[in-house]
Amino acid sequence: MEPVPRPQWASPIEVGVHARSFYSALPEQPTREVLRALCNDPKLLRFLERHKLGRLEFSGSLPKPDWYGSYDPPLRVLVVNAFRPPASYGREFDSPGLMSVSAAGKNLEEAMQRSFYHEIGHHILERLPAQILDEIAVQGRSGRASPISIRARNNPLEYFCETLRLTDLRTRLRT
Amino acid sequence: MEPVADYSELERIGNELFDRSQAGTLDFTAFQRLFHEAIAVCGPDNDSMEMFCPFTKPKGWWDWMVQELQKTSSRRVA
Repeated sequence: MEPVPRPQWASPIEVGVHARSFYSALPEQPTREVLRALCNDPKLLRFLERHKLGRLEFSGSLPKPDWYGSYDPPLRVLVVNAFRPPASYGREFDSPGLMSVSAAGKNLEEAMQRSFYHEIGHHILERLPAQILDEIAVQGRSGRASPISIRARNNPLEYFCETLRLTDLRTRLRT
Repeated sequence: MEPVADYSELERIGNELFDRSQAGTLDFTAFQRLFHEAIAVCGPDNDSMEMFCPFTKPKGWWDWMVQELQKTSSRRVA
């Protein structure tokens, strides 16, 4: 199914403010449910105001159909897989043996929310100085931090992106 | 998802990608070598291959990556 421009479903994302465009191949309700993850994250929305995404898309238009998401740095194109197989989510949260944080999403929408955060993590990392990336690497490799998933062990960038969603959830639980 | 034969191998590849990028020594030859090593470990369909995306900033690298991935057939069509 081809993605269609859906700026009217994008809230709290505002097309032209947080992203250049928004496309979805999903119906309205699941599209809105995925984006709802950002409703309680004003800091991230402010970041996206300062550093707008390019095209944001919920579809199957990924380099490979089994990927959960992708981020193209030069174009700032962020795609979240809207057609990932059910076997790729609904897993027990058995960190650190979990393949990825998104695999513990209870349903497609929650798995997509987690992959969305993972890819936004790459967008954030693009805006950080190399020195900060070195600091993330030191933290990730220190032995004091526990990578949240197998995917988080791949390198410091994946460590940051996999952890980002959990950080958001912990913040929300505290507030 | 295809089975991953050796997660520690993916970690080695991912960390070499990152360290070379930080050191300014990630040229296209090294990127291509690491990309093919990762495919040999986990297959092109595995979501872990997404770790190459952040390193495709130089012109043409993203297009090369996508072409290489699409040379290989996928088990499932979205």
